[in-house]
Amino acid sequence: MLLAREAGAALGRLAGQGRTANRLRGLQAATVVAAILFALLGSLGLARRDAAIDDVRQASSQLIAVQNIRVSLVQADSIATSSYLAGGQEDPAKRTEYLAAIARATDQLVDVSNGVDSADAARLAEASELLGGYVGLVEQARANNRQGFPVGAAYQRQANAVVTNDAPEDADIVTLLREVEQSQRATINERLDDAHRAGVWFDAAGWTLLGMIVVGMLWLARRFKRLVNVPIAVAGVLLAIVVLAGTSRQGSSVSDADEAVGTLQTADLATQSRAAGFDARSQEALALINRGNGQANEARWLIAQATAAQSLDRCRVCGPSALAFGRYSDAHERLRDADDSGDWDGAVAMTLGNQGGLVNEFDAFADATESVSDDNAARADERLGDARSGLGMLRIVTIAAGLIVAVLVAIGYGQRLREYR
Amino acid sequence: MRRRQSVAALVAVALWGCSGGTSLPDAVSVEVDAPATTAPPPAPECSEAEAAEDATRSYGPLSPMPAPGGAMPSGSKMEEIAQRGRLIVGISGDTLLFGSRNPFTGDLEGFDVDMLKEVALAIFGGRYEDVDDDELIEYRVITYAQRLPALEAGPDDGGVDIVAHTMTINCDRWLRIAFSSKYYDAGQKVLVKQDSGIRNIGQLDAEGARVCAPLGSTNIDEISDEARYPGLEVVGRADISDCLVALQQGDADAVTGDDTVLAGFVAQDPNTQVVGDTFTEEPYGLGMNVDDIDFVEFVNGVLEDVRSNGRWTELYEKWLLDTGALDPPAPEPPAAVYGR
Repeated sequence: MLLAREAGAALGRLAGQGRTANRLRGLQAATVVAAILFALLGSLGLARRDAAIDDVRQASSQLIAVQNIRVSLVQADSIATSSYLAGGQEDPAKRTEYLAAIARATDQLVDVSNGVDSADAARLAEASELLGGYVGLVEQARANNRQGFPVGAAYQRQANAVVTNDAPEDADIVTLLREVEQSQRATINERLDDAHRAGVWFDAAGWTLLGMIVVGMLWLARRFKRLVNVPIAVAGVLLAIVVLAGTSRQGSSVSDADEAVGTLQTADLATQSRAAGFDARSQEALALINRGNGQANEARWLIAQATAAQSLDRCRVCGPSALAFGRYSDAHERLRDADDSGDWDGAVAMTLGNQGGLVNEFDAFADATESVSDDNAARADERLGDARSGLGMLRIVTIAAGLIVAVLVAIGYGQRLREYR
Repeated sequence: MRRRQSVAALVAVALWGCSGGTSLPDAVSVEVDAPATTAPPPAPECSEAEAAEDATRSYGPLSPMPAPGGAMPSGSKMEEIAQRGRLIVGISGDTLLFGSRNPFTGDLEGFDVDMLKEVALAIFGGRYEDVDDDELIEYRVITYAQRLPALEAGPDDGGVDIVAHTMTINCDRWLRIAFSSKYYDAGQKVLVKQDSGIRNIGQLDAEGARVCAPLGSTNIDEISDEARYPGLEVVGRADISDCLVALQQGDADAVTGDDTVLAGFVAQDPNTQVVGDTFTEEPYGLGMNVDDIDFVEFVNGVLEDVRSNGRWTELYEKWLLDTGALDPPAPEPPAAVYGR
């Protein structure tokens, strides 16, 4: 009876030892797999974040570039319409400025077309074709005007309609460029979300593995009455360092990306206000060209003015630009008063900059917004570069750490398993 | 400090995870509500009996005419203008030969403008050349659609004293404004490219040609009559000068409008020509406020002088023959009809 009881107890001990060994093997295998998964998923997540932020950087650069094309074009159009009013007295410097703006827009269209998807490339190709037609119409307007032919005004109106119009059935360059801009905005936001989601992979795999190691160490300590399993403890410490460092680096990356987007938004708003401002100048001159029939142009001036004002209102650092634009708007009101009271020549003199300070106020606004736009676009690009910085190295460290942890965990559990052989 | 940054970074990760990250807002878009407008009351129309009468019949000329620069009849519109010191007029700004701005001088000029200068000189006196320098006329460039409202409003409410704007005298307009006697006989014609081989509107109709006319004009109403022109393809443009552009760009085969306007187009594009006879009658008159009958009589007196002293023929030659727009000889000035 005693013998049987001892035999039973021995069998029980053997069975218990078998279960413990199995648990050890199970924990060993699970933790090694988790470590390898951490190496794979963590590095993959970091790679995806790196790629997503790079895409954000490229799309941001494209957005600014497309906006600059729009600004160049509306700036060229505002010069062309003002110069039309000057007729034979056209300022040669303005002519040079117009040609430079057109050349800039043409070059920028080619540059930007190389880095966009097929839908945007098609839009830019159409914009490029329209730009060619626009230049022809402006030259026709200019040639007629210089001969004293009023039909030049019709060509000038048509040229402006190629740049921007309200008729949905008639394509215009500004609408096409705005569509490309919107497409780049969508890419920026989509890839920012991707960058955010990709970071979760590193965190989830890292913290899960760390949890498994801690639980395993606690179980080993209780089951085998040994305070520390050195290889597993080293693995835990190594992993904790990598996960904390990685999480911290990703946090910095997030902060950089956030700051970059905020800065990009400032550049975006400044550029939008700048483009709307030049459009307002075009409409102002067109209203005078369409003498007596410029109500539609004045209505469009109001829309451009409101767009510029709202953009400046949302921009955090555009105070001086907003003040200058307000002064320009006041000067425009005086111009309208002059024209409406029959002093068309006075109104023309104001828009050409010969009196009233209107052009100086507008130039102050244009210069201020250009400065804000350029500075913030450069800062956004820099911050997005910072957001990527170190992610490549962290990826290598993650792979190495995951593999080292796998080996250390295998060794640590292996030491205990040897006791059952 | 560094630890604080790390903590902030960890918090940022957590927050970004919760919020889904920052994003770039859409472009600023401004929607402007269309101003509340009420449909203008329908324009009054003449009865059949009224329409059958001669619309060119105006008020008899003032006799005797006051001396230019002298005292105007007490309480008259002319006295009001003389006291103001300038005549406020409504004209076209882009109708070459009749009313358009000379881009070299900046001056508004044309047959219509010169007619108004004759009226101004009859009130203020002085030399023809000094009208602009002495600012005897305040020009308000107006559209076709603004002609009648500007006269109805009057100069005190943003309107004008008188309009010279290639304006056809007709019965319906007499219900809203008053006209001088006829000062020019115009009519609707077609403008084509010189090498088109087109000779008249009938040929355009037979060939199913594209003919451009300004939207909302009597010209487009005329060619839209399918009973008379079943073959024409009507091309509408916002402005008559847009039609010249359409012809030059090959978007239309012909332009139709008053022969006066088309003559200005020929002057701007020597590769075009006006062909065929006029197929509508467009007698032009100077427009005034319906209540300013004394002023209409005065202007008719001025026009009588202009017709009889050879000035009308001089102006016709200056604007329509010397520019090559029309072939000589100059016609006789249109005869005035009075008795209204």
